[in-house]
Amino acid sequence: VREEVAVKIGKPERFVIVEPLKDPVPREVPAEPPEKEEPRPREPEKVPAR
Amino acid sequence: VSGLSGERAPDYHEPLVGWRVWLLEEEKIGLHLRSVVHEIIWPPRTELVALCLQRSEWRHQAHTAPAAECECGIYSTHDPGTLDHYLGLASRWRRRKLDRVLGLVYLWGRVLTCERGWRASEAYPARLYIPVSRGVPEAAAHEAAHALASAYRVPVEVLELPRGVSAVEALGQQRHAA
Repeated sequence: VREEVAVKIGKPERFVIVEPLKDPVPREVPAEPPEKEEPRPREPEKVPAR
Repeated sequence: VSGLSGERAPDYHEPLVGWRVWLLEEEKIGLHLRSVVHEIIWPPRTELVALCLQRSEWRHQAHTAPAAECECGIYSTHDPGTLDHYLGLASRWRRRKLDRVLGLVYLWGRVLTCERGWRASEAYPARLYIPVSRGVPEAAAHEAAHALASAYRVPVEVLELPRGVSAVEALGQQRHAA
């Protein structure tokens, strides 16, 4: 990717190294796969009281 | 200019913040930012990484961008007052009324500090302003702002320009009022 003269910024002076602690890019968060629903335990069958 | 050979400890742990101008470009996948001088699309949700493609003879030697002896790197200025020239360039080259964006840009990686700005190896927009002249439908400007904000996930504001007021002046007034 090339970026050329876009603004008149004058003569170069010195290099600096910039390593942000926090990522400046709001990156795409990969969607998590939907969690599998665990089968619900079967409710005991209701037997009419005698 | 001091050389930069090999690894060294970082000078800053926060990105530098500069000003620049972009063009609005309608792509198949939506509205995007484009560099004013070159047909470089700024990718949403990922950094733009500088790569030197200068074609003059001595620059054929591959080098890491930015290089002090070259003109490569992602440009940005300290002072928004210098952006008027580039806003004018953008207007001359493009006919549409809603085609220019100015704003703040994060810069990091290897950054060459210059007299009035920087040339960086990596960059991403930080905050965008869409200048809107009289006569441009307000809805179109807000629609563009919404599309850019959705694509880049950065704050985007519409900058209404009263008659006779430049985008840079309007920006100054708005920032002063805030």
